[in-house]
Amino acid sequence: MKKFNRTYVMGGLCLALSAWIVWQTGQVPTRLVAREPGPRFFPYISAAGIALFAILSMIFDGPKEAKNGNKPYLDKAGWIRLGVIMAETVVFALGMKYLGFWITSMAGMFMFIWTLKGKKKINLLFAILLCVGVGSLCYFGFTQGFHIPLPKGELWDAIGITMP
Amino acid sequence: MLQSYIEALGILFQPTNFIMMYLCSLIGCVLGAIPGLSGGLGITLILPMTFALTKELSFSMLVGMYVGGVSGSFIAAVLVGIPGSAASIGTCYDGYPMTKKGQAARALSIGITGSFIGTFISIIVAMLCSGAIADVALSLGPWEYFSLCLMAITMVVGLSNGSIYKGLLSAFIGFFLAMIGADKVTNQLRFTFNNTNLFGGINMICLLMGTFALQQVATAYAKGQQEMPPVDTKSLRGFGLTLKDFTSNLKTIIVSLVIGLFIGFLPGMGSGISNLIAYGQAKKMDKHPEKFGTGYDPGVWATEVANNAGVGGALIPMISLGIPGDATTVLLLSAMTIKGLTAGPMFIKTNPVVAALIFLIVLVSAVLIFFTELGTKRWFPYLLKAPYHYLFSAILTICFMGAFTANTSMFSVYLMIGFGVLGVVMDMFGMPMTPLMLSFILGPKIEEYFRTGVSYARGDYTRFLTRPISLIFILIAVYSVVGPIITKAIKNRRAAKKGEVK
Amino acid sequence: MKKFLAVLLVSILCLALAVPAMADAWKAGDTVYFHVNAKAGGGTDLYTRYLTQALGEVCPGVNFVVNNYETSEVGMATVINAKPDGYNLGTCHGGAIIQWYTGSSNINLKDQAKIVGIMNLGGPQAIIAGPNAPYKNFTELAEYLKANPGYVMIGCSLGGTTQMIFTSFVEAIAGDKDLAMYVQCASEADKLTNVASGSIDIANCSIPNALSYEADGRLTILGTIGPKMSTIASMSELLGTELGSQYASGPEQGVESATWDSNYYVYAPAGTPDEVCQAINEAICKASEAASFVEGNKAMATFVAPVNFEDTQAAFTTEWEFLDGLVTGLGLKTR
Repeated sequence: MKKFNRTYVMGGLCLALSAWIVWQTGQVPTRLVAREPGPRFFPYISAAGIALFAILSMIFDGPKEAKNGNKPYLDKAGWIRLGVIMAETVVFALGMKYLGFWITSMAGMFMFIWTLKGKKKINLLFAILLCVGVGSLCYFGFTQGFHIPLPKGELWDAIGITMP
Repeated sequence: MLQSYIEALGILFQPTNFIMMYLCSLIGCVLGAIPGLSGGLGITLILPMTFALTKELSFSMLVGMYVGGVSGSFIAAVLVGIPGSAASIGTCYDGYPMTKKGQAARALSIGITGSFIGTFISIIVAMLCSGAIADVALSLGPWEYFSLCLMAITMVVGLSNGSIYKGLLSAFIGFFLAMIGADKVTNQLRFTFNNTNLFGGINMICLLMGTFALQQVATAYAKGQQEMPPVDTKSLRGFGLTLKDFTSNLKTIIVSLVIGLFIGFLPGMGSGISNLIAYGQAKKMDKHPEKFGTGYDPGVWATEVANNAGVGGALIPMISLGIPGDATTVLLLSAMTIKGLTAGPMFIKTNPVVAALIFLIVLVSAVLIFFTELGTKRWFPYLLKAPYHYLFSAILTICFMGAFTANTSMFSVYLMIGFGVLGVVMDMFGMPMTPLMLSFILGPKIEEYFRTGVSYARGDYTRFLTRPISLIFILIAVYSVVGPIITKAIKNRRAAKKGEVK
Repeated sequence: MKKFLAVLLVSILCLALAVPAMADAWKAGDTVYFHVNAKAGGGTDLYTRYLTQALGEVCPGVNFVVNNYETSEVGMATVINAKPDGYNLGTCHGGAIIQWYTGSSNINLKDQAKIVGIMNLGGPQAIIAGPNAPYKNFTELAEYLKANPGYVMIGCSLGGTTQMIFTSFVEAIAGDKDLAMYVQCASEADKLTNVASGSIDIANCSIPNALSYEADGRLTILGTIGPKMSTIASMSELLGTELGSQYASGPEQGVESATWDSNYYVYAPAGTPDEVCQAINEAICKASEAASFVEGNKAMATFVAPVNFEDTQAAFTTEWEFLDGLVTGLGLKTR
């Protein structure tokens, strides 16, 4: 994988962010302002700060990084693993939305266990029981015990099934 | 007043009040220890129950839960590097590295003792000086609050390991994130894209869970580092600390206590700020600042003393002025309203026994939790013997639940994932997370106090410099930034001159 | 024996008649959710908890759950998007109308919700000034405002209910709302500290807090503003303590229009059938007569009274139109 100077990439991204902030801030309404700087002042300051320190970092840290070289953050396998775990978090979130927290917590927790175990062997029955236990305890503890709502799943609502 | 305390003691030690106080303290401790939950959640849950209870029993439960929640938040920070709440962000920086070095028991001992010292001494101060301190709080205006927040944010400079520019860049990104939502002064919506979930801004829980829990698990897995730290089972028994551990950190403890008390009694500030300021100050004062972040005792002493000192600090304005010191005391004030009590300047005079009872509940809860945590401390590290994949899968599941319940919205869950990605990206670019956190917490306050300060001064910006206390804070802030640069330049000059002479 | 059986039969008949009337809105064993668009511990939350506690007394067997939402918009959206079956209700006050008009909220209660009941009729607020203020009542304040136009700083929630209250108040006592300068000061805590420290000149606060701070010499009370029913006598009865003449209301100080009528409402999704709304309203009316509810609202210095469904609709429409006019007058209307 071709090495790139991370500081310069970071700086470029931050400069783009700064420009975007300035553009968006210009659209903020400024009604009700009573002899004070108004709601645009501090976003402009944050944009200026981001731009300034992005540039300074590129000027001072960039050459240092170029001189000292940098280890790749992750190897190829590492990037794949990162992608997998982040994709799983997205799947978990979507599961919560459509299948509800109860089912997703059990299945999702098992998914995380299976991924995080790596090459280790696990007791399948124990893992399943743990997932069912933790998921059910969380779900029923919060919804029935504390009356704090957790997602029941839009899919079940759509097909007329009432989840507990 | 002594008579009131004696009477209050009698009420507190009635079996029902005492048992429920202890039980709620323990529950608060557990809730505080679990990432995504908090003692405040516990108080919210039991608040409706207090409608039907006597006021003595109500306060025993609520205040016990409050103290437990604050005390317990360091446990997850030390054991798994995920703060139980914003009050223990700073504890992660040295508590978790200590665990990774096999010193979990020591870190826990420091956390337990620091928590106790902070709570106990702060409540003694509150009992003795609440009236006088409340007068100080009343003399401050938005100018002083702004200058204080500015002074606090200059600690950002000291907290950055590595590139100072990346640290400041991270701080301004945190500042920007804090601007999302309706501004606190004119209620104008900023950066919300008409998404109602962003109208109230970004929830701290989502940011914490994403940048700590999710990022940590994702990067550990990506790097193939899913291993639990070693547990030194020999050191689990006993107190775990010697008198020397205490005396050698006395300066840090005292300074952190003062910071926690001071920040705590300023209305609306809270322990999320005090623990980071105390950490930054401890690092500045220490002979070995380079050791901070590597598993260094003063790092844990500073944060845990400060965040627990906020308990006594927050109770001062609550009882003496009827003003909440932090988000949790808002709920305690509601409980007082439910019981027909009006906190305020006359409260201690008109309800001396109730005031004394509240102070005593904190004191006794702190003692009970201290001994309970010491007694059960030996079992906490056994959590680390659980296989990584089981423990962190459960933690992730709870984080998802915590993120949802933060705003009762799936959007909070998506935000948490987004912040997890941000955390990974920042880690990749070598940008520290601490400045972002501190700016995120302080940003809205800095903006609000600055704009209201200018507004109250009818557009006069110099008011920040003409009010003495505000000026002092600003000068300290300037010195914090400029001082080290000047000192370094002078040192370099002297070293260069010495070199020339030789 | 015959007499006993007769009494028993009559009792059963009465119970049979009474139970359906009370349980029309909900059945025993059901769970009703009240979604509060505010954090736990605040005013709206406490009022809602008093209401749900009283509803639990008048609707035995029905479980009432209060959910809080940090983001007001999310809380209100949860209600308006819920099934219109009477099991998901929300509570709010007139501030929600103002937020709609100023663009701070996308929720239009008039079109997207049905107002089913009035939780309380609001309560008086004390108008406070610093301990050394050069005015001691509304008349002196009005004179001072006219003599020093744009100088007196009034702390309020800009674009919110309190700015509406104060602009209306200044207009009423001095004839021109622009005689004062309005600055941001939203929470009661900020108002108390900033007025006591002299950072701002005037604000409002609850009467219990006003009493406490006044007794300590930290504030001057200029008077009170609240619903038309607020008089020193009615407020004294509400609070259970004798109020001094400094707590006189606007009308008692000779300014008839210096009042503020604003209710706390209970609302349901827009498609909720009228008969369900009627039944919920009846339950709320019964609850508002419960001792626990009355005492709880007294503790918060709020007036309560049962208001039937038709009068509830009329009250909401009146408040809607009134606030429409105010927001337009301030140039804040965006819709």
